Amino acid sequence: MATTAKSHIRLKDIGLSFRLYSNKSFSLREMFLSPLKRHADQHFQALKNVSLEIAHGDRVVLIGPNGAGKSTMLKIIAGIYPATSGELSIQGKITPLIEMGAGFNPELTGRENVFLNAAILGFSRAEAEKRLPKIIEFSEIPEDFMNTGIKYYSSGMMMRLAFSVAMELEPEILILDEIFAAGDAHFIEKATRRMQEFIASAHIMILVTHDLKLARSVATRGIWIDHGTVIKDGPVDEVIEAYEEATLTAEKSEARG
Amino acid sequence: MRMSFVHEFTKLYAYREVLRNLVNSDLKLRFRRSFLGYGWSLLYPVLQMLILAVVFSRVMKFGSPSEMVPYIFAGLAPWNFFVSTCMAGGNSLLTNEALLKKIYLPKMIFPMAILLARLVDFLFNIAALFIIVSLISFKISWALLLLPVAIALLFLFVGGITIALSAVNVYMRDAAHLMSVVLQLAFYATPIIYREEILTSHGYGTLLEFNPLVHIIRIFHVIIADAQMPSLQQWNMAAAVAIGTAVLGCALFARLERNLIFRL
Repeated sequence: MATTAKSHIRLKDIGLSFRLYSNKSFSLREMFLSPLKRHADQHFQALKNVSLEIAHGDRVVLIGPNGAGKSTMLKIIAGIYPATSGELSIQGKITPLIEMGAGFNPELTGRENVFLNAAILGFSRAEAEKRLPKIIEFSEIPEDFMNTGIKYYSSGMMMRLAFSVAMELEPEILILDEIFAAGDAHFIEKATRRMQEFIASAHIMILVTHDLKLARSVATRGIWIDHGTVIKDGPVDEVIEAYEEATLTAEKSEARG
Repeated sequence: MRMSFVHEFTKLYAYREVLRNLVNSDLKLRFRRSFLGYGWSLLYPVLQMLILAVVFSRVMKFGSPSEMVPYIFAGLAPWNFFVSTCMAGGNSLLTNEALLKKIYLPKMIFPMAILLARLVDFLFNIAALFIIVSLISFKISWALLLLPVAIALLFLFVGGITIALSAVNVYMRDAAHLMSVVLQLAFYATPIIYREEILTSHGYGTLLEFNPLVHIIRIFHVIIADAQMPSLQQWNMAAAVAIGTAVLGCALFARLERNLIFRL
């Protein structure tokens, strides 16, 4: 699965503008409205000419306020959103963990969901089969529950299973959006340790988080994004400091004003 | 245009493991926890066919049961495949919205999974119905050897419509509602529960030829109910309709696919 080639991500003048639809799809009724009215849709520039180069070995954290464009950028890199302008060049296999257990089907059993989720994350059947015992063991889900529909699972159990499947990946480019382990204290501790190993094994990691303490501990490079542009890019401590200072001043001036 | 077209299918191949999983879940989940399980997918068309055969041969006097049963079966099985695939596959991108927003997957995988799962149903239906119909009355002919070709054409036709509908439905949510009305109309406008002659004798013959479904189902009627070889012209028409629909459907999908994620 892992190739020896060096991974990289290059964004050149990437831009993305959303059209804002009052209710996304136009119904037949709108089709008969005047064309002028129909095209009055507003555009929202989520990313503006972002150029970045992320190299093999980079541990990047994207920080910034809500709606700054962090998740949009992750989704462009992960191939979920097509950019409206610019060039994107990616070397390496992308493992997006935007949400743990994305693709879990509540009707399917735990075991079936492991195979479905593993396939979505890029495993062949044989690879998934081989890792199944390890996944079950790590998740600490009782064997008989594995043959039960996961709609009967507690949310903790579901998270544990999703986490355990994800941790079996051998990521080249790892993309994480606000990821945290759930469960009881014992599992969180075990999961955090596993997560560190997992991140260490990736060629590149990109994380979006609001948890600045976590950001400092796992990332080496920080990218501060606001209003769709890169404000500051550099060593994680420097960028976070600058970001904290800016938010603090903003709050102060707001309190004064 | 042609490039993106081919591209869709190479991506689909790369994600075949996901496709296989989705097909399996569709087959498994519809009947899970029912006593008869998958048996329902066999029992339903058999009972439906018997009801229609009784109504239309006994009550409506459209023909003798020994004639009507194979005839209704030959048209109803492909019709059921068409309707169930269209309705489920047409909604498949909307059903999987949450997933599509969280991970990259080739979008065609969702209508395709429904298409393949319902094809499996259809093949079992055909097999089960053959057994039952052969108990009543059945003419076997060499033409049956060409049934796989007829099934392939049906598959292309249904595939083209389902794939196109799945994408159009994201942009225009009226599409699915409109489609259920169109299907209702198509059921009566297509000779399935009655014979073609009923329409042609009333002067609707030309109109009939404009219904694409007629050309596909006609092949099934000729092979199964009449136990004859369809004429070259009948084959040509069916092939033209099937291939044309598949190409147009996929081309439309390829065109709509790029910005689809923003419309979900």
